[in-house]
Amino acid sequence: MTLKWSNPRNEVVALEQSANESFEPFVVRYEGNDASSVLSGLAEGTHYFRVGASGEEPRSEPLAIEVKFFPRDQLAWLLGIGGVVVVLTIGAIIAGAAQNREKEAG
Amino acid sequence: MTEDVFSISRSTGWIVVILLGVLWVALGIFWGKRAKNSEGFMLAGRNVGLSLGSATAMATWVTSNTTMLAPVFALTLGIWGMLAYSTASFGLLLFALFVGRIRTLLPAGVTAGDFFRLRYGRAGWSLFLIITMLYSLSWLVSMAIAGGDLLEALAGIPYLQGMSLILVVCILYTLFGGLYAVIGTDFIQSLIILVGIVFIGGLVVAKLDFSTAYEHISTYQPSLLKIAMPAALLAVFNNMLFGFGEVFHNNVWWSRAFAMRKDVAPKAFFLSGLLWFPIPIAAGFIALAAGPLGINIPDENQTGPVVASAVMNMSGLGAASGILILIVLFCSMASSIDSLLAATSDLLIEDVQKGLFKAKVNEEKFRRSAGIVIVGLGVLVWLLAAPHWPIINALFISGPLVGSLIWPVIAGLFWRKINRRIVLAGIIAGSALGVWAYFSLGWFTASLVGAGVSMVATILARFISPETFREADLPVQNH
Amino acid sequence: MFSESFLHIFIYGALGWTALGALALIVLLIVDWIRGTLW
Repeated sequence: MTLKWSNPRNEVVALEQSANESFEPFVVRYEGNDASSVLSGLAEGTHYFRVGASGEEPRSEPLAIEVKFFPRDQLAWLLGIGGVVVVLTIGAIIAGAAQNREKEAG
Repeated sequence: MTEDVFSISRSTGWIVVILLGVLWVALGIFWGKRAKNSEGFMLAGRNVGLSLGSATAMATWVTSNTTMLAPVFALTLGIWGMLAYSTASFGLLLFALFVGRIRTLLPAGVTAGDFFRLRYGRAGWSLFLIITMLYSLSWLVSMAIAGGDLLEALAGIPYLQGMSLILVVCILYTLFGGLYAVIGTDFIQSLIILVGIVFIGGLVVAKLDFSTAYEHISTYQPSLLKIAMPAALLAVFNNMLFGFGEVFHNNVWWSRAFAMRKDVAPKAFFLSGLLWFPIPIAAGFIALAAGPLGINIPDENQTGPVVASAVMNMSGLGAASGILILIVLFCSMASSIDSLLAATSDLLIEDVQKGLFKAKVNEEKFRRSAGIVIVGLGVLVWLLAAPHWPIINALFISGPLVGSLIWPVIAGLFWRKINRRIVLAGIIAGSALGVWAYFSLGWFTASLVGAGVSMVATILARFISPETFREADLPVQNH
Repeated sequence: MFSESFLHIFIYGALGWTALGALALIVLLIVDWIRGTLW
């Protein structure tokens, strides 16, 4: 996902992340002049973000982001179907090619 | 926001692209002299050897999507994302099992359309033409757009100028040299792509301390390293099937199957798949280095170039970094645009002109009409690329369409009997349901649904009042 | 979780494989050239 913020005066901005709303403790995920940052691979759960000029108050209102993975039972079905389709497809090709080879050799 | 990252000036950008362009066109003219007749122009004399054959198949399959999207996959889906991308190479590996049969079934074949006409009659062939034209055009247009975007992002060249330039270069050398020029330039382009990726990847590895990088990723981006990531596994299946659909049906690959020497063709396709497999990982993993190295990625779509140039700047390569990235990406685009232009115009000449309109194209007039078709196709691509629509989405949506052609190709090549009507109904149902899945379930299910539905129909068609396929009964080619 | 050593092998393996691919193409080109079987 991409977080964007406005940075009209091109200041050095810090993007902070925390697991709770009170930001204790927090980590700085980005510090620089850009006005956006792509974050990925967050663990499942709720994460809080805020931005502000580096080393100064105030900070923006925290932004809560909930990371949820695809519903598991639906996924299990799709995975099962996917496995069957892929295996059958590859199997049909290998079987067809093997038969064809026999036919051309014989 | 990225001016300070990309350090090449507009004039440097122009010089690089024009020099490359002149090189490709000159080589195209030089190699084009080998094409004495239509078979030479379209199929490079049906005598291409192992080295050129493998390189051209690989280079065509390395598109700007591979080099640009692999890092995005790595960034968003982690290890599994890269593996998912790599499985697109399985399409080439399996196509190697097709080519022997293709050559015995269609000894005088020229295009994939010849196969669909023989096996599925006029209706099936028309369906194939519609799907393949939609797919090929969206592929071509999205790559022209990517080229324009790239020149704008890397060198500040305005979109329309950059896009036009890349397209004109590819049109020119395809026009002068036909498949000879495409295959010859593809070889050089493959080497540049491979060496460039290894070079950039090597720099990243040199800058990266593995244990701190691993700690950083497992703390902040743990999902990227998870083994049990079912959604990513689904993406693996989907991507693999998308790749199968693309390779199995498209004339880019069929025309190469016809162009290579018969004994060489299976080996060349197998080797090209092997060569392709590691590329999405080698080009993609650099995105994992972004976090540990403190590189901010402001825009997901620019992940690859941002990380690559940041790392090269850290290694003190400065301006050279932008030039190298530009050359690698330019080659990956040109090697696919040229092949698509050539193969799609072959399809237009052979199938649409000769087949659909029954126009006689004789040997003397061939080069002229081929030229008209190539230029016409180029103009169409330019017109579609100029408004800068998000055509890449059309390419992704075409996943289920091409996916639903997988089983009809397998059956047509290897089976003796089939019920054509059920197969065709399966293609239509698979395409429709796949597009529905794209929008309602997610992109990573679309090709799977398309391929699955058409698979069920094709298997049914084998048992419900099947008719025997006729063996090759193509109209005699007038070469 | 994939282990650190896996990541190591994964990345070095991919880079090495890609480099090997480039080498293989060059060798094959020379062989085809010598035997006159380029195209």
